[in-house]
Amino acid sequence: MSNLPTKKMKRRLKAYCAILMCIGFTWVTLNVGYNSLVRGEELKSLAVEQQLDDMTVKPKRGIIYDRNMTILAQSATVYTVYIAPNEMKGNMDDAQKELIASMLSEKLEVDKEQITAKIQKSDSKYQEIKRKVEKPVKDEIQAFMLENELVGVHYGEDSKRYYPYGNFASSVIGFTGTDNNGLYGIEAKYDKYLAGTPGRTVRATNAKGLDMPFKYEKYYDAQEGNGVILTIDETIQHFLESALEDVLVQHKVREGVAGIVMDVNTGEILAMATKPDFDLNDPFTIASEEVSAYIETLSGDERTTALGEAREDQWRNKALTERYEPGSVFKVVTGSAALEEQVVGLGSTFSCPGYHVVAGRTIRCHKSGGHGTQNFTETMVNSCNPAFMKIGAALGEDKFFEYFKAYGLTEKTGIDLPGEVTSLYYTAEQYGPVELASSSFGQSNAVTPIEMMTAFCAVVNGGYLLEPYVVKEVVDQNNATVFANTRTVRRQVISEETSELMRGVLEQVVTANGGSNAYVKGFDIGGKSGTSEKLSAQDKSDRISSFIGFAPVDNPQIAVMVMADVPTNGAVYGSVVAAPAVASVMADTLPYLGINPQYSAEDLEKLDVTVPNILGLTIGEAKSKLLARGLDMETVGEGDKIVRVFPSNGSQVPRDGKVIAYTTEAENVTTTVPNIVGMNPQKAMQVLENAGLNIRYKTGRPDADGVNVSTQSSAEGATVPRGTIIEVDCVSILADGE
Amino acid sequence: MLSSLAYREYDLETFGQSTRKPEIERIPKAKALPKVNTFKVIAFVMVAILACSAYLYGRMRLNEVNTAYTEVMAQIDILNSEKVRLDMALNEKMSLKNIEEYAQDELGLKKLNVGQVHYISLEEEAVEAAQTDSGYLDKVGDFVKDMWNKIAV
Repeated sequence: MSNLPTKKMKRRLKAYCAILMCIGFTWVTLNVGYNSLVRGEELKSLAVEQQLDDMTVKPKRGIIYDRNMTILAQSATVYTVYIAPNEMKGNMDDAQKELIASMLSEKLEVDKEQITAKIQKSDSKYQEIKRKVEKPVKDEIQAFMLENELVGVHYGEDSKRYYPYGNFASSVIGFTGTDNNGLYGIEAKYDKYLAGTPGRTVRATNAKGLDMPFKYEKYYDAQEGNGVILTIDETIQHFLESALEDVLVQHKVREGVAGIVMDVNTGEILAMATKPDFDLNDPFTIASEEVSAYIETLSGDERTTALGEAREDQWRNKALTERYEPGSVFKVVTGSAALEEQVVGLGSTFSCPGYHVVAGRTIRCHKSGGHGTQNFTETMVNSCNPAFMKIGAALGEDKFFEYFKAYGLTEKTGIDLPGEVTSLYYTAEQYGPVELASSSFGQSNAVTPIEMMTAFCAVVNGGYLLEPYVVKEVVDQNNATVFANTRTVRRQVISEETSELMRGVLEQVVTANGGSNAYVKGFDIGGKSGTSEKLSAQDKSDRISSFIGFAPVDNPQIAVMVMADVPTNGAVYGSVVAAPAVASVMADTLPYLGINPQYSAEDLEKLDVTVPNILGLTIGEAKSKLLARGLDMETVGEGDKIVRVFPSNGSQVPRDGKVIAYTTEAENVTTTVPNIVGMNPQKAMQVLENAGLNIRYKTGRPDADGVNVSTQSSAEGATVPRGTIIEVDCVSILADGE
Repeated sequence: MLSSLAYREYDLETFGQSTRKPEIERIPKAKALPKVNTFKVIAFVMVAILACSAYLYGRMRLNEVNTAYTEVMAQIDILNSEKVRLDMALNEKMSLKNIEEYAQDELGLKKLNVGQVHYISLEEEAVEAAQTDSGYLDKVGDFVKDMWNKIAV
């Protein structure tokens, strides 16, 4: 008998297997169908939730540059330090928790009791301790935790905005909030460009939460914020801020100082500043010690309100968020309108008896005896109010308002900064003779500094009212342009011929009578000062001092404006308070822009000379050589030949100055610096000569009338070597209109 | 003696001799089990194990490298960020205001006076191209050119 399976057996086996397989297959199919068709969505979502990791990728905020690509604002990663009290609960005793609280309090400068209270919330898995913690501090905390084998402290990534230059251009750049959104200035206005677009990362993770690469990965890249390139020039901004700081301190300006430097032909803002200002890295701290101390004395709601107001006050950009009465600066508008309408000409004459009667009201000139008969140019130089009232009357109310409107003084300039306000002015219907008279010389209407500046530029640039702008270009990560601002002409207000006439007249304002305080040797500068009553002030003696200058006169490139709101140190005239600051900015900015000084013969005679090499010469030879350069010599010592000179060979000394020649090796002979502030330049020179010192006039025209020394480089009582050059600033103390 | 051929002694006719032939059923030979080459089996299994291991090892290494890559990229981001922070700190020190203050207060320097800068007007161009020394071959070439120009004239 064979013991191999028979066919029948095999057939039976096959049948059984087939039945089993059918059952199994049917069961599997039914299950698959049920799980995919009936429970499909539910299981899919569970799988996604368990296996996929969805993370938002925060974009980097864009960088803000000046026009030369110097970085003014940039973001970097920082950390949020938080604790997980639930993690600490089971793993640490009280002593360890105390240790953590002490360490965190010390490293993060947070109140220890607050930290301890958070640690006590043992059911919580997230208690924030501090945000915006920098990496070195985070690393120290991390090292401490590892060293002491402690748990419960974690770090979340965050971003912090850095402003490397602190309070530089603070009112223009603005700052971001805790969520990295722009709150002020350019940061706010261009937030949509700077913020970028968040990305997403979808990844598969295993049971341990680790990535499973190349499985279901989807990356949606974050779009980094665009870069914003300003029209601001860092160097010119620095010049302006230094000058404004000097005005603020020297004249104890109570309500702040504002300044603008603008490209006359394009509308680009090269510099804009308000002082006092604040540190952009810490905008919520009140910079003024006085105000801060006052707020500390308050409590409750009163304190909160005062703090809020103080912050708003320090953040404001005075150039566009505040109005002021422009005073005599406004005369450029009245004068140019009158010339354009040909109701007056350069040869027209005006009489000033010291007052003018309008509708029964007497309005006095600043010069009590009056200016007498003067032509158009002289009225501008003298800034004669009665003359301008007559010019305004000749223009008429309708035409006056028409030009007021044409110069953009009834609307915003459209500058790309937030917070710009419009002016307050008489409407056409409200004008009567008195309103016209006072408006003609710049009182009654209140405009913003940027409005006045834009109007002034229109007067001197050929008559074109431009739209000012602060952002030159917005670029992406590849430096491709996303958006660019260009010169925008709103309208032409006056003809080019009238503009040329006005430039000549305004040059006379600066150079007439020996030159005003805006004069800078070697440069043709034109401008107009203004001193106005602050009508909104409680104290009727409060004044606003301002000056707008432009250069070069024959081909204007830049205009500079300085406005001081209530100087309280005695001087109030715009020509005394603001004009020297404009001169200082011009003196620094024009050479920086490649506009070199062109000295007149008179200027050349007054330039410094170089001390020639007289070492080894006899006293007689040395004296002759120095005399040929226009220098005097004082000999010290008993020797025959010159062994040392002060100031040294090759240094620059004012012409007619003195050189100390030593014939023996000895220490420098010293002298005490006298006080010369307040003296006229000639007397100051005499006093310094008697003390064996040289004088150099840094700014102002020493040969002009009514000029006094306002500052001296070495303080009274200082001991300096004989022959030292004392640099002085000269300021005209005469009122030039207002 | 009976022999195995005893059936010959019987008269089979009495039994009704069947005319059927005996069925001969051939029983198939049992196939000999193939000889198993043990070495080959082991080798095959080893190869299979190796291949699987290599694949798994590759995936594991890929995982590790990817994790390391992610960590390094994260570190790079952190260091870049740190660089930005330090650059900002450096720029803060190097601001124009700080430089001026340091120059005046610490070094006793003064700002340049306008009169210390002398401007020179040039009637001709301020740039002159430098003459480079020509090599021997260049000189020969120049000589030939000169000769040719003279001949041409």
